[in-house]
Amino acid sequence: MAYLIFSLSLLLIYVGLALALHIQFGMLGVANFGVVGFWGVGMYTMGIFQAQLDMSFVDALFLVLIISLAVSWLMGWLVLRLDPQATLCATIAFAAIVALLIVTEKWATLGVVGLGTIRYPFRIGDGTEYLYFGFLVAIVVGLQVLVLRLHKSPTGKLLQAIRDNEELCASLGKNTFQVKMFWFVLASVVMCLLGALSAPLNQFLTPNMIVPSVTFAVWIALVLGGKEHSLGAVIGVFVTFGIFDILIETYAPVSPEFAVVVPNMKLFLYGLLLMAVLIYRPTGLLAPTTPPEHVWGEIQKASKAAVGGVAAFSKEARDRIVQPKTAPFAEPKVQTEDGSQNDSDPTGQESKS
Amino acid sequence: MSFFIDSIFIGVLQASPLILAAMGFTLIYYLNGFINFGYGEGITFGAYFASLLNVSFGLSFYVSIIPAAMMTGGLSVLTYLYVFRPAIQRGVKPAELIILSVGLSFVLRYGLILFVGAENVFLDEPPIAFFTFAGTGATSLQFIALILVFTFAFNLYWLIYHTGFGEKVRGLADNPDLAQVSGIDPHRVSIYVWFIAGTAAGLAGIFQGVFALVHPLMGWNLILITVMVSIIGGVGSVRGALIAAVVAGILTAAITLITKPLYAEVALLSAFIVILWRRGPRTA
Repeated sequence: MAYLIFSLSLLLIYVGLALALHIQFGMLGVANFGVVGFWGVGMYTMGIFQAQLDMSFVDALFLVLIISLAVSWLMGWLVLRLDPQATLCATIAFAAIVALLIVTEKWATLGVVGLGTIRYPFRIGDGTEYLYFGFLVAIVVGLQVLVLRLHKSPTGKLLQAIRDNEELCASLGKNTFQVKMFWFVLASVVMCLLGALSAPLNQFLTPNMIVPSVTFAVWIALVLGGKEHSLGAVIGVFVTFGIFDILIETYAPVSPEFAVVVPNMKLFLYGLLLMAVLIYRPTGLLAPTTPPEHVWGEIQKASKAAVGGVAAFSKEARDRIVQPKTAPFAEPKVQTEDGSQNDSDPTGQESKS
Repeated sequence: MSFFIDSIFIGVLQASPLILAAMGFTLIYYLNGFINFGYGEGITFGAYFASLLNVSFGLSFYVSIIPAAMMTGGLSVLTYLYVFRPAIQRGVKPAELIILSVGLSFVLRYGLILFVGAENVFLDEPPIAFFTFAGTGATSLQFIALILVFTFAFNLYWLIYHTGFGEKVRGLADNPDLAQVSGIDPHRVSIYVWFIAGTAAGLAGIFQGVFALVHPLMGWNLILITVMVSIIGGVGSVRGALIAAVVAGILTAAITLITKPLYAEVALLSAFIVILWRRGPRTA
């Protein structure tokens, strides 16, 4: 049970990260591939202040906030004027720098030895983990409400307009750089603070937590759920982390001799599901235009498509290879115009066959 | 003086897998316009194909280089035909294609682990002779690797910038519609390009594997730096990728000779960010 609470708390952290990335990438179009960098900055500064300097949780959190503001602002200043590929490259580099500095700066982080122990902000006997879990639930629900409200507000429309055509927005008199900066820094600070909040969960910090797989996990969850839909982040994290890391890991009935194979098998199936969903649902599980009341129906449709997709995957590709005369570059152009309407048709056919 | 020769030699040698990988990666990025993280698995599979021929079938290492690289090229074409082309035809956008390629990468990597296991594999190296050249020592293997890498790199360069085929590739990348109207078959050109890129990845994996060891995560560990170098080199510029990879290798080697290797990486990555920032926005 204690393990389950730990996993669920981690799931909430991932939901928070995916929501922050939804603001940055889904709404603002900033391809931040350095999620783990911001997360790691928050986690390790929290660890250093608490374990090395023996501060209280609240003091440490306040200092983490200031440092993460500075780091986020610096990164925003460096990357926000760049084109998407360059942003992606610079943020990957940023995350790699953070991971390397954690290993090299042994005087602060203790390097590969690891840093511990990070305490919970309160201690009430056996209930501590549960209360902390409740605290995380409140934070993530708050973030989700913020995102839902943002989607309805004029600011949200402004962010989407900047994503789709920044020059046009600027010509209408909006200070696009300032708007981008504000929301990028806000979302990055959220990532840092989530890192700081996940430090007590892990209690003992090691550099091998700051790996690109965290970034990929968040990106996968967001894109799989639907990067432009306000509920895409939550759905995505529940499908990826929830099913694969909690349900299968904890409850799959496996005989001991296969236990070694399970993690590899799991990641293999995970990759297969990812491919099937994206090929048969090009916009992710939730299309940008899905109204909130249809979310559940869309998920059912998408899961049928994914199951049918895995089965039809090889067959479909074999059929295609037989007729190579079709022009592969002519069609996407047509579909990009009305991709969101079109993509449900192949889905329906696949699930029937 | 020997400092410069050492940095250039060590840098180019260490960067040789990166040079090949970055050039091949750029080619796909240029033609199809998305970042293919699955490309890293080409590196892994190249090394494993070489170990299959070299260790399991007992062929000489030098004999197994070319077939292993060609097999990787074939694998790359298969991923294009079975995964990426259907996806592009269905209208999957570049951001989703990135995640699709990550999914493919998971399938290939963990499929490989399920199939052959996660243990390290060592390639059977041929007997090694030691040479001294301009004050720097090198083994015969290193020399042959360098010669092969540069033969491949310059052939690829010549192919892209000085032949009719290269013109077709560049035409398709710049304006697919115009290229098709001019009678270029995008399907055939794409297959060739994915084959060449896969071959480059396979060669990169073989050299990475013979200098160190072969393990299932080797491609994944190399892919991020490959992506960064390709973007620094300029989107879709094979020339830029070549230059950026060589410069990155030499710089890393030079800084490593002065300070710790990890600080060399930090300095290089910071330089990446500053270069991108100085360059500002640019359209591809």
